Amino acid sequence: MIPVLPIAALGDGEMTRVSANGVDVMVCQVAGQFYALADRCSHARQALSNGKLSGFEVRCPLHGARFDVRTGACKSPPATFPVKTFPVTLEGGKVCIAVSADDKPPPPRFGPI
Amino acid sequence: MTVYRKIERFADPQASKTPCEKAPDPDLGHDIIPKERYTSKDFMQTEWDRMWTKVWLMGAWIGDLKHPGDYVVTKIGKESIVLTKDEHGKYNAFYNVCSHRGNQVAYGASGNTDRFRCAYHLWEYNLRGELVNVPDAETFPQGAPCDKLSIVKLPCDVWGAWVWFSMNPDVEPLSDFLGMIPEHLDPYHMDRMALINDVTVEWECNWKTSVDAFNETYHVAGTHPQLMGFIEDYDVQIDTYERHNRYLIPFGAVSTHIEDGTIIDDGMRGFMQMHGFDPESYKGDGLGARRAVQKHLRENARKMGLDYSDLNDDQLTDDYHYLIFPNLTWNIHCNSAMLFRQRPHESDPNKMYYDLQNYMLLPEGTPHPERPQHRQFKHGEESIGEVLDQDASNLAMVQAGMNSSGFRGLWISSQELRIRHFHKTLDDYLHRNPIKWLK
Repeated sequence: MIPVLPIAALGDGEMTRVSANGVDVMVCQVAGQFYALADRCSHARQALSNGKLSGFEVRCPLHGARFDVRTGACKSPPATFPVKTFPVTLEGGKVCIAVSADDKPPPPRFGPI
Repeated sequence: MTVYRKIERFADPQASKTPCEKAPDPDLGHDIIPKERYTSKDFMQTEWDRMWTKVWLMGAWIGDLKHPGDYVVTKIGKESIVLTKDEHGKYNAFYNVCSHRGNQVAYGASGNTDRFRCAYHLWEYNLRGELVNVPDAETFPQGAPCDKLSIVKLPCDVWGAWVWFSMNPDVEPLSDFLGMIPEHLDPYHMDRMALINDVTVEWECNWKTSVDAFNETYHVAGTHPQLMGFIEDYDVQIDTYERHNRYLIPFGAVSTHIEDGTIIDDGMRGFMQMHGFDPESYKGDGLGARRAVQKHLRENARKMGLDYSDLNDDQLTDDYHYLIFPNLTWNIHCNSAMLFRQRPHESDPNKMYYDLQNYMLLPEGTPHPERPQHRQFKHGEESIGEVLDQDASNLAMVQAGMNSSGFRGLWISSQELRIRHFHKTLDDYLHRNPIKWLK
């Protein structure tokens, strides 16, 4: 588990971007629980941490796709697929997440292959 | 959005085998394109009667008709068409229907056979659709003459790596229909490319909604922002011809919508790697990347086993993107081709079939991989790649909007000239026997 920020740094209903093992992650606190998701909309790679958090839903800043921060499930178009979530623990006053370098997204490319 | 730069062209128009000079823009006016053509069943029927059944259509990849007896069943609207290679090595096309009671004689997408035997009463047809056997023929008092009851044959021809057919018995020769296309595309030698992906996705939109989606780059900033680090979306040369059209999209260029053109992002690095150019070895910036990749390929392609000798410098990086009317869209690169074929639904103007095929040029001597198995699924069931998923995600909502009383019709920019040209070509077919309600 990688410590990424002090628990006290994030209030309830807030989210922020952190980086762990070269991977951009959105960490948020909702209803007293902390959640971590890939900070990249599954549709067009925008940073979800620049969007809007309402309850358990985060809204992408560019096209408005919504995701459930608990599961990463896609809740609205134009996204179709979920966002990856990462395990979170609270240790020694820190929010810690499990992210490996393999979670870094492949570069954008034009073709599907 | 502000545009900060122009993109330089390096191709020599005199030496280029694929013509690369700008074609004069036609005056196609500024009218709204009526939305009813995307939603109306009457319009769909008119399209069928006056366009689909009059044009040449791409039916099969030639690699699927390699051996005598190979056949492919292709569907277009309500029709099913059989394409074959016969024992003389000739290609044939005929309707997939038994002359007796109307059963389909070929099933499955493809196969190899010496004859088509109808499963219902065992009437038999050869590879040209000619009736060769009728069981109990003596029980047809009116006769069951093999020479009169053959399946209706269709014009069939070959260009490039594809077999084409037409449902119009009086259609012009394929070469006349294709016009400038062979001159433009033969230098790519797409017949040397391997087919590496072959899927059909059921989309909830009209077939033209999909054609339109791929023939303008205006949507890149909105729909594909992740591409702007290595694709130009504004300084794009658009050329329209008699019925087909194209645009030339600079790749390996930072979008001129991005103020800092010097950046090199993950997308640009990936683009370099795809062409065997190590991004770590590149000491320049984003502004010089496209030219550097071109020079790298000009110097090293042969060593990499790739023959680009018939291509101009810009073709080494850029996407020469063609629409072959009515329903073939091509993203063509020096080492790959991505083909979209839009097929109308059998009866519903709000649905279509999107065929996606990817072809790749492999280094000389590399054995071609086994032909990928064709798969068909609905939108959203599988990813077809990040970029195409993004395009697809717009389409159902666009189609819903086409059906809205609140939508006035398509308000088209000069960046979308190819859409206007495509609809004008469609109108040319529909108006050959004008009917009142079209305007």
